[in-house]
Amino acid sequence: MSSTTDTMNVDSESPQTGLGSSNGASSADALMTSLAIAQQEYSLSNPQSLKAHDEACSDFPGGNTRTVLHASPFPITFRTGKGAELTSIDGKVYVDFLGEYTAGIYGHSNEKIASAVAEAMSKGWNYGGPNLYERELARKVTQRFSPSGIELVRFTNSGTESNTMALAAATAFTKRKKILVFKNGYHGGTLSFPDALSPINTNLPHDFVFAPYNDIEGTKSALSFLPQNTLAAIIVEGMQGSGGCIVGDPKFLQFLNTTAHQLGALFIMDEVMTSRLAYNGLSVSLGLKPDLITLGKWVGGGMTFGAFGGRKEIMSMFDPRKGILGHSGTFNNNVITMAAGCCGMDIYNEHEVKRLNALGDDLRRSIEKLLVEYGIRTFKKVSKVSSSATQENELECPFSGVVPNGKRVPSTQLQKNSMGVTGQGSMLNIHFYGPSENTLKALFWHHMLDYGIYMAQRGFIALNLELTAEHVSRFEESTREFIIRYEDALR
Amino acid sequence: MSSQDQLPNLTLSVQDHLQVQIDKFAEENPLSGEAIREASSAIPGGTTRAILLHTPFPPVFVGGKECFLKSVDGREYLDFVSEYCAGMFGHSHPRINEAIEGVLRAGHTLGGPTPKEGELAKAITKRFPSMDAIRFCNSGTEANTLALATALAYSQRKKILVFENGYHGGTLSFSRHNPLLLPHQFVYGRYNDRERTRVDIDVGAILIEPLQGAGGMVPSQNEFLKYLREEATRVGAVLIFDEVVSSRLYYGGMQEYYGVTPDMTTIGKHFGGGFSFGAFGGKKEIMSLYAPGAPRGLYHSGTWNNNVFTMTAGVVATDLLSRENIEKTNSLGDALRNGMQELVNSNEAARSLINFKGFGSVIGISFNGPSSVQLRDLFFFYLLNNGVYVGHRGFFALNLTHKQEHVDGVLDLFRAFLKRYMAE
Repeated sequence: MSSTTDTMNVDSESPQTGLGSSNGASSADALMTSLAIAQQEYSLSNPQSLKAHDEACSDFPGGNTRTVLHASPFPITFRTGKGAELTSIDGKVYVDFLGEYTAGIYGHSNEKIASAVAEAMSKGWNYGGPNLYERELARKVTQRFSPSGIELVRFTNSGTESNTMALAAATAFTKRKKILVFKNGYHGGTLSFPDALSPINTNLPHDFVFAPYNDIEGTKSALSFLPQNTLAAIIVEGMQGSGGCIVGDPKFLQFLNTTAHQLGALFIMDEVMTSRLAYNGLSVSLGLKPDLITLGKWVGGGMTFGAFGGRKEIMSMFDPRKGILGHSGTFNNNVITMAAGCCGMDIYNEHEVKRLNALGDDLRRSIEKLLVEYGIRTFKKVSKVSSSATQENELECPFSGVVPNGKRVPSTQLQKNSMGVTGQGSMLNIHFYGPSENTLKALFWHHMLDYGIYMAQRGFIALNLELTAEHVSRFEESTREFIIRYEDALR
Repeated sequence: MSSQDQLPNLTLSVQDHLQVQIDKFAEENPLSGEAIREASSAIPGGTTRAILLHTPFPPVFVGGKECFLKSVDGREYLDFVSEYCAGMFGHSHPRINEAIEGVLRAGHTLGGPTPKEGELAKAITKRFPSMDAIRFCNSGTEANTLALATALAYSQRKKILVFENGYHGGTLSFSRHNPLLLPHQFVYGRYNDRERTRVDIDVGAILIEPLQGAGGMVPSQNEFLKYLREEATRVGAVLIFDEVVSSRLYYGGMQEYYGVTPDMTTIGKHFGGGFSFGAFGGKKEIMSLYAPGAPRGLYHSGTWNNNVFTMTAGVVATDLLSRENIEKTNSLGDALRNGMQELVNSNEAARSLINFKGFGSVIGISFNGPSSVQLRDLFFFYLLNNGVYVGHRGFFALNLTHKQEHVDGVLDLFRAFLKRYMAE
């Protein structure tokens, strides 16, 4: 039996900066040529998607209404989805390993959810008043996630709105302004903190303070600059999802929990993605006691959804009999989402939570084994006995997350290319490192598409309940083929 | 003159009359009360939308058909809330139902673009003079939040001019002290008041509803919007029209009606066909900040931005929102508003106590005097107890499923209300 947090990304080794010869400039050129060829083949074999993209450019900037869907040279446009499969408008069928960025846990055509939606609609919709579904979903959410801290909950229309409201609640509750966030963190379209965050961005105008993820010393340092009683909240993901499935170190997260409370600030766990990793939420499985938790994605049954909840004392601010905060929103309680969410939560029960996350762990480990088998990476020796259940050997890592002195080493500073995989349970991310990082990433994406597998161009993978062992084997084999093909560039 | 808290010809005060109606409602709708109470153990206040809550408790609905709603207590109501203007198509439109059945058959939560989003974008951008390009999000709140961020990024400034009583979403609500307000640098103008609305040279964005919805269904004056347009151009600010509500009133939005073209527009509600929706659009130079790979580029993602339910229902919606259908609904709204105004005009007491505002299919009703709040509630509960559901804060929103007979029914009821409480 494996621990759920057995792939730690806190690295005790220094980054690889030129051990052995680099793969060489000629290798970089060769890769770029391969990519150019791949992209050309892609354009030729997906003419309908190209056409759709070009047409979309007349009404959407760059043909795009959701930045993450952008792909070079253009994204694939889909016509239908069934079970775990997607069919593009070019008639190609793919096994879906993206899972709508974790929202699509039920696959594309779950019958129970379809029934729930159809039934809700048969009664009518857009009531303009309270309905019984919202009560039922709220009860399910609080019952399931109360061990992690949700005593009272409110629904929104997106994870972005949930995090927005959680932060608003925190500043109102503490009457303070500063919010500690983490580099490479993502809490929504208007709460996005990549390493290279441009000063001009669409983020909410809060007073953000930045700290490095998985780095207690670095975070202490960032906090040391704060005047007393100015910190309203610390908001963090238990695993940085959009940031590349960077698993949070439980000690780091516990440190944040304790520190927030010591400073009189709220501790907010963004479980929009991670709530799928453990039945009662990731927070309780890590021994955390957040004040507020945000949810989204799968909890709405595949419909538009978000939620924020937590301690009674805080959430009661939204009770008009007790508090002063008013949270409205035309679609917060729409019957379609409420009904689908109730259904979805029953589908994704304890058994399925275990099964899906075990499947993800298996996939991740088999990719690690492939990397070791082909000499791209080696297993790190585990020097001390861990108190948790038997840990698999971790991959020795050029870098991922943070290296000891708190600085992330930019990929371009590495002399050699490499490949890796991080993640936990049913969420994983394939990484490429080195001077040809972006080229390799794109090559992998095209390669997997050729093998009938759809995933994010940035390497993100989220499993869904319709995937079978055969699908997962196909993923492994396709990855093996890629490694074989580009062995020289990766070693 | 009648005493302050008494209506003419009545021995009880407004408050007492209100209590009668509230008690009647509570007595006749116990299941709604129970539902809210039970829900309160998981949701603060018992419903996840603050606007829906009022003393003693709101009716809780279990179904709807065309322009009628059914409550858990088995009561039927003629609906004039229309899901706070989002429900432009009634509660059971067959074309929307059909569209959703299609989505369920074809599959959803796809994780990539689909043809529907391009179709919806085209259908919307071609209607609004200001929209060269558009981006979808999940609510009016998100749309306005993003529009502001975009405008500030484009103008490279921080100051935002907004208006008292403006409502652009829960975190952008300006009717009273709002601890949830986004901490932007806001400066305030007064709606329809040039003298009290100054546009400083460092304003980066101006955000205004051409009709203040939550603020009472107050239409803007043409000259006021023209003034803002000139000023925005003069100082280089981005003028944003929040047409989340007002776009139901005219085919190309109120910007087409008034002939004033903003730099950006936000929409939401009805354009999602009843599914959660928001969008912001505008001039090419501004929107191109979002083109992937653009210099000074902006990012905006969102799992549900292009979800096939909303995209598909939205395409149906844009088709149903034809010029003709909008005009028809507006005419009915005018008939109702004018009809109620006439009844008020012929009643001396009512004349000094009741005002109407609005445009086309939306009507704002407001009450004057020291008991204005109780009067407002009395009106709400009297109608509710007689089977008509209107907005608690005092509005009617008509939709495509309303007919003349429904308007006539409300006028009869309104006549009865005046007779009962304001007869001479």
